[in-house]
Amino acid sequence: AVVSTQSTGRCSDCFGGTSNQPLHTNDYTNIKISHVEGIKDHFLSVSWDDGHSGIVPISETGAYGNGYKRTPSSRYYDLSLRKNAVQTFWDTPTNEVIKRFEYSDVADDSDKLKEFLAHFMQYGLAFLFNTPQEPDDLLKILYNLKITPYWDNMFGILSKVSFQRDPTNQAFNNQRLAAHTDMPYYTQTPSAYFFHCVANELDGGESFWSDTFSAVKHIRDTEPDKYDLLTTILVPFRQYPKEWHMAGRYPTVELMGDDIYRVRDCCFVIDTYQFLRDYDAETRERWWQAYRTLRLLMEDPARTVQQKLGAGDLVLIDNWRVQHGRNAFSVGGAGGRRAMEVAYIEWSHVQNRLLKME
Amino acid sequence: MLGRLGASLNALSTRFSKNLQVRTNSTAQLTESGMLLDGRQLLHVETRNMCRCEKCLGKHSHTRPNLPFQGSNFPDVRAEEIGRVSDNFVSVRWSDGHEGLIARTFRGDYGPEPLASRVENLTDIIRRRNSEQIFWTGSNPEEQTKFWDWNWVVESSDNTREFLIHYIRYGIGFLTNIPLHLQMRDIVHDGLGIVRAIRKTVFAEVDLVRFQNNPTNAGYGTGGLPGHTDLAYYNQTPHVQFFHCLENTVDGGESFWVDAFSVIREMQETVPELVERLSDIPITFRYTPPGTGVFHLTNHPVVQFDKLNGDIHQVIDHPWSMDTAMFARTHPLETRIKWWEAYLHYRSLIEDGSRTYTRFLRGGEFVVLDNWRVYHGRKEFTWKEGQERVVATSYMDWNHMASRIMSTEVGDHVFLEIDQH
Repeated sequence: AVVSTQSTGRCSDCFGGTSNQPLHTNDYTNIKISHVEGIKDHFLSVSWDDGHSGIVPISETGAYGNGYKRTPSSRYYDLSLRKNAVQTFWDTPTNEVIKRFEYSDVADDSDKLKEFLAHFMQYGLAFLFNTPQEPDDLLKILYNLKITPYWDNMFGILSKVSFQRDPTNQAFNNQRLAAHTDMPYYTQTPSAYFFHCVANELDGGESFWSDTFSAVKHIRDTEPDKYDLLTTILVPFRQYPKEWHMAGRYPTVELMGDDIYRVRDCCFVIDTYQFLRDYDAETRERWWQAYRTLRLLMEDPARTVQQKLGAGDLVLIDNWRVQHGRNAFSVGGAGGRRAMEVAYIEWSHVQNRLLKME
Repeated sequence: MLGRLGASLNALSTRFSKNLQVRTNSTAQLTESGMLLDGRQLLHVETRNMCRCEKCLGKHSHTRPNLPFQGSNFPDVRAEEIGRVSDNFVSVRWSDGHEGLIARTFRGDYGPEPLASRVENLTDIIRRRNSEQIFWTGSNPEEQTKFWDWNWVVESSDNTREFLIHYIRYGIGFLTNIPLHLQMRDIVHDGLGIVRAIRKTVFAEVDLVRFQNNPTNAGYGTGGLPGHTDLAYYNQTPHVQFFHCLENTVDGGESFWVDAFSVIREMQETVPELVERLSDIPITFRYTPPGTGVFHLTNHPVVQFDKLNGDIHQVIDHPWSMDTAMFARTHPLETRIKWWEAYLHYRSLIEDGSRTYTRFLRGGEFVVLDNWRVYHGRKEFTWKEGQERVVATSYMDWNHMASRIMSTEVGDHVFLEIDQH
């Protein structure tokens, strides 16, 4: 009875027509249905013993509002909830994984944009080409695609990744960066980011990506003890450049029910000093072995998509799933530059763009 | 930088050349699995990962560039020799030929004071350990509802830190005497010094909560709002919440707050099986106001615990956005019966007036709230022409709050004192 009270309220006395929210939430007594009138379209007419008569939805269309509203496709719905059943784990880069979308197509056509976002959610990354190439254009791109608001973080709204002589982050040197996910030390590590190539004129510096979910699944299927360690041991992370101190502890792999949900893995910022204090040596030794197994898979070139991005290329990456890195590149010499810009987006905002009704 | 690096490496070589034999002492000993350092067993791979020399740890980034066992170069790196032992460091040589040093203390690993002592003393507070938090025991204990004077809080960094630590302990902090011309950014960025703080959501950077005809959200009406947490339909519900009362001249509309952690602790002691249901069973939250182009939904359990230590970690509870229809489709009846039993019991405690702190907020008053712990709500109010009730709200990531407490000040020296090793 209480459940039906909560799930009904689709009449205008109980449900806000402009908010799509219940107007009353504090009636938690044992109300019972006293009479059922009948079915009309998507609703069942009901009376309760508190004297109220209203309507109960009997379909998803009815449940989502006062009128008849289109609901998103179930595929989009499940992709936005990160359900493994609709994701495609990849251990080798297929043509579908590296499929490229034309920027003008997705910017001008909402259905094509949703297809692009659905592809991203299915594979964990998606490529756009022929985007605007000037510095700071990334924010304009996001505005045009209506994928906002973006997420301000310790690197700013727009992180500019280019070579620095005294780098405040490993990304700003010219060394090889092993595959990793970004900002694992955040309590709410960013879920998605746009990686925009403004210029890539130096030798080397190829970008590469690999699907951690595929690797984790492999470990789950072949070495379940190691899988357990990766999902239960909390790894401390710490990043403390000048005037910042970011720290947190999380398992390498997080689950949602039985689904692989999120991975945090950034070797540069593992806080080993704290790790010693959190766990005994035997537990840590077993974790390091499990972690090494994961890393060997992640660093296997056969599992990696590698590309030298060109100006105007843009990659949307699932930071909870796909690891990224880059090869070393040369600096100095006759000129040329390597300039990338990054903007982070909350998952809910990407989801919103995929599911919203126009 | 290269000159200093060269000098440091020369110094390290000197320290090893005087200690050709493996040193064993009570402070540092090599063992089969790694090193026993100050009574703590370190693994070989860990010692290599902990090297704090300038070659291994970026001077300006404080991050290392690679893994200790990366690729085929050093698959089984081992600590082979212990060199000089100083107050904060131990010199080590590894099987990959590298000579460096690892930290014995917080100071050695994190850097000079005051950062080292802040890390050592405040780590549990910024981790929101229940042992460091003070759960509310009544509706109006003086310390919990204390109003902090804005001018005192912003007078010094230490004062700001003290206020923020109070907020962490109680899940709420009140500020008063804020100049009326200050806006949210002025208060949070410039006043409290929390940079890049405000997190944009579907409600923009700052949401002005005031009466609207045809409200697109329950908050914009005049009705009472039972205790709740915000943005439950977000995949990552925001953690820190700011309320800035700009104007309040209506009748009614008192704000109130409840400590959900206190409720959960009581239920853990009296009805633990109900708490288990609230943490095991996720439910769907959804926000789809018509005609706005907004479509948010996600699944969360109402209660979450820290996986390492079992602490109460987060509550998510927003009755208006519970997608009960979807709940009925995704969970069997028996599960839902158990969940509702637990939830109704929980809500009856949340709505127990004896647990609630109520206050009529006045213009210039400011509340910092732990949206993962403390519920907020308001009583209904009547609105007449000429009256206003305007509360500006914003959200922030926890880490920016924690960073404000833990980080060094502008100009502080932060690099390790390895030259003194």
